[in-house]
Amino acid sequence: MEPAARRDSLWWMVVSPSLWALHVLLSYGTVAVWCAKIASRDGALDGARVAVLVYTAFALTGVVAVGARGLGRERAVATPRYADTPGARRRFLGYTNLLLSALSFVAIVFGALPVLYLRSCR
Amino acid sequence: MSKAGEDRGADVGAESDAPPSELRRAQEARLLTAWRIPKGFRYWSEVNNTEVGRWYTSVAFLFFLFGGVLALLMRIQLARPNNRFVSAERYDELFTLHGSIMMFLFAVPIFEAFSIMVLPQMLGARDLPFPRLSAYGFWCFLIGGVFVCASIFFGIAPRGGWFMYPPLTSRFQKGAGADVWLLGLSFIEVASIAAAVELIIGVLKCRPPGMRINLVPLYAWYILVVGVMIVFAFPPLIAGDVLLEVERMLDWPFFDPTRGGDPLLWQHLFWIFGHPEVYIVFLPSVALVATIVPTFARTPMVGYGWIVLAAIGTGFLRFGLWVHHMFTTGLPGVSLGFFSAASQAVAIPTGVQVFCFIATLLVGRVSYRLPMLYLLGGLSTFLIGGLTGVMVALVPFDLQAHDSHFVVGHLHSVLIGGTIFPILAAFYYFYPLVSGKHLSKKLGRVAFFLVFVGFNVTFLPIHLSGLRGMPRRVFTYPAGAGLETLNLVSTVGAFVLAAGMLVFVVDVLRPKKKDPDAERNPWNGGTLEWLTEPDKPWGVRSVPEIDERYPLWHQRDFVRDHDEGRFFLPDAEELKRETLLTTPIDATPTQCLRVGGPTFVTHWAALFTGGAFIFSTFHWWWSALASSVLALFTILGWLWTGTAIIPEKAEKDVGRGLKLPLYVSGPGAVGWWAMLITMLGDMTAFVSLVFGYFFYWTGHRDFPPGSQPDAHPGLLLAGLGLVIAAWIGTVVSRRLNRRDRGGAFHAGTALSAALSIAGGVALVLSLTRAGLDPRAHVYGAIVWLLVVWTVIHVGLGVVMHLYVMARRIARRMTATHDADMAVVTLYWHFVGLTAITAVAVVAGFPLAVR
Repeated sequence: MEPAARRDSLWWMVVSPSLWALHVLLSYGTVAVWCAKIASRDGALDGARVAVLVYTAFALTGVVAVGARGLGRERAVATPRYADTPGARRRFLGYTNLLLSALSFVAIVFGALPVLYLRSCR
Repeated sequence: MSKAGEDRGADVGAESDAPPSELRRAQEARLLTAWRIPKGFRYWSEVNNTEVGRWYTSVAFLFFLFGGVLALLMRIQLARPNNRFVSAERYDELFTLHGSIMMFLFAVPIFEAFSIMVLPQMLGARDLPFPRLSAYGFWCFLIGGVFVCASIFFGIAPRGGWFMYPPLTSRFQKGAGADVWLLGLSFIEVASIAAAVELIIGVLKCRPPGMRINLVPLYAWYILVVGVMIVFAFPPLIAGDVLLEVERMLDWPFFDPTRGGDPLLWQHLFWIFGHPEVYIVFLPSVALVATIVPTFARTPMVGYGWIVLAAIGTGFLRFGLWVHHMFTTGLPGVSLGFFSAASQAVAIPTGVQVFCFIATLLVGRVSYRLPMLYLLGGLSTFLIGGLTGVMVALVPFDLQAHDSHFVVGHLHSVLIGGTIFPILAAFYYFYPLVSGKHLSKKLGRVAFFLVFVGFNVTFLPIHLSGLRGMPRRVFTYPAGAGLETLNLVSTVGAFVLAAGMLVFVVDVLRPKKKDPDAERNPWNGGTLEWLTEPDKPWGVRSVPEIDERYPLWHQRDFVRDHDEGRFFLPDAEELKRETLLTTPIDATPTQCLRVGGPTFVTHWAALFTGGAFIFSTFHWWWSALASSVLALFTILGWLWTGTAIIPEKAEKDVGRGLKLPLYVSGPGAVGWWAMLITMLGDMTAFVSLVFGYFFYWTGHRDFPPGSQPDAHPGLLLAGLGLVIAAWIGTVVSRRLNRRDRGGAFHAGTALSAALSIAGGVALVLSLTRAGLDPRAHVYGAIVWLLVVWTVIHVGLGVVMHLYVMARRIARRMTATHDADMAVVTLYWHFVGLTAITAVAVVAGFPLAVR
């Protein structure tokens, strides 16, 4: 049976990139507030580093889950993605979700790197 | 019949026969009547996408030429050290206007203009859903653009650089220049957002039947992404404009450190807009490349899914880059690290696109015709800009290169390589589609080599002079610093480049009556725009059914079926302008949409809206107020006569045995979508202001400051309660209208309006009663602004209440035809959300931290 359109949504495409965006904003916000309000301008990042790594763990889990869902849909049917069938449409959406999740994964890892190296607010 | 039709379960019949030739001729005559372009003076009342798109593109290009002339004047000034060709002040005006014009009056508008022109064609639609909105956007753009450009001739040009940093622009430049920039360009930004709303809905809802989401032309994917980015990127700038303009006019100290303000907030808001802006400019040009490359490679694009990834991925990642314009402002090192990381990450999707293009060229049998020359020139130039971009994305390098001519070289390589060359390629490529003639091959080649060589001769030395320490935005430089030769070479290069542009302009403008007509699909493109016949005003003869990504290449008898009117909507029985609406995922037809025809109401609306902004620049408050009121009533009149019109019948046969409704209300309607998207942008601006509040908190030891009173919490909560009651009242009123209980609907809506007014008054009283002075400290200023923002939205909500009541009385809105009410209810959801957030911040935050 061919998948119905109402079971597919364009919104899935933005889930992984949104997780990345949330990760950047939370990390930036946490560090900004930490350095302005909790530690001094030259203070240690301690708590903020932990927070950013926790965000990273959550964000990566989410992105992997969305990517796995995409992969499942991309593998579900054999029709080429350019065909004019509901199966091809679903496969295409799954494929883009997978690719966007992969990109978001890399970008989130990039975003987490600074706290691995930097230990102070300076 | 395609599989798409079978899947939909719509009984659209087997391969339909061509209508008899007599009927065809009658159909064409009716279509021609419906879509006829008015003659004489009334020509300018046309709103159809092809005409508006053509004017829009031409005007944007004229502004480009004007901006280019300003650049030449700067190059003359810099040709030798200690030059006195222009004064320092004049030089400030030149670089400010050059940057502002190129970004706001050329780069963004030309993509919107061009998309308004060709997107419907690419989607096999007759027009976009709101042609009058496009026309309104164009007239606003024209008025605002002329105003900003003309300022230099009257000595009131802005002088603060295209990014207008305070406190320079808030305290040290007292003339009208900064106001011209802030108000003139805000006005144009409104037009840009209007066009973005139009284009987003166009891609999602105006696709031809069967064009599933996996078959959408790549151009449309990019336009969708860019449209969404505009909706989220422009509002932070508008919020910043509001702050800066209010500081200049009313002395509310948002950016004044002596009273708690912070100039850095401007930089954040500006660059949250400004960096995405770079990609808003760049992605449409990539879209052009993705359209043109497959045609000349004679093969479908390699890695369609990867390109979609790149478009959406860049669309997101570019929002994480803004701080890389602020590396030298003293932010914590770790914050810089986050944004440096994101700046490196964006190179991935950008690279993916370029590799897909190269792969397509390798797979196909490329015919190197003129547009390809421009594309390859652009690609190589862009690569240089991309690589220097990776250099300045590195914090240590940027600390050295910041504000030097190296950055000027970098950004021009990106923008000229990534934008100008593809746009020129598109001119050559699409010229036959628009005018039925070709541009000259010979002149095209000459222009290309002049522009390409001129560009490199200009900008390569600029990188070097930057590395030697030459700062940006300084009107001259001393002799003996090793900069003379580099600058002289740059100036010569700039004139070579300008000569190339001149050749191009001559080619476009020269009369072509004697030239042979171009073929209908001269490059043998595979996408729908090449169905267009330039001499027919209707766009498509019949709205096609799509089974392929490149239907002109792969669908059998496609052009014949289209021309003979075998597809949908081959007729205009009621002589009205109509197009098809479909669903976003599978493009199943849902509605036959009637769109607006020629009118002058858009001109009046644009004129009065422009008046409101322009009069404010000169502090002519009464004229500005009168102009605003006139604009409001003109727009209401336009909505009253031109939108949510109850059709004479419920359904219409659109051909192939398919019947579609003529009126749709709620989430299926394009008006509802337009409101949703507009309000998402509006919320983004509001969130930017809330960000400002918390930004001040992080920057101060005590914020809210002990020296300042807080807003009266009881009145704030009372105001919020009243606004929420009005919101609930609006939702209930919609239900009452649906149940056709007219009396109860009117009572409910009137009560909602009254509650709104009371709520607005209570909110304002909460500030005046507490004696909170917006001029004394930034705390008062930002609290006032959040409350006033909310009250203005509540006020607009009241106007909408009155409007729907009048509609119901006039029988223009009924229980079954309630599109107006659905849109107003949607608006009120956002008002409710705004009020709750504003009060939570203003009343709740001081309680939490004190």
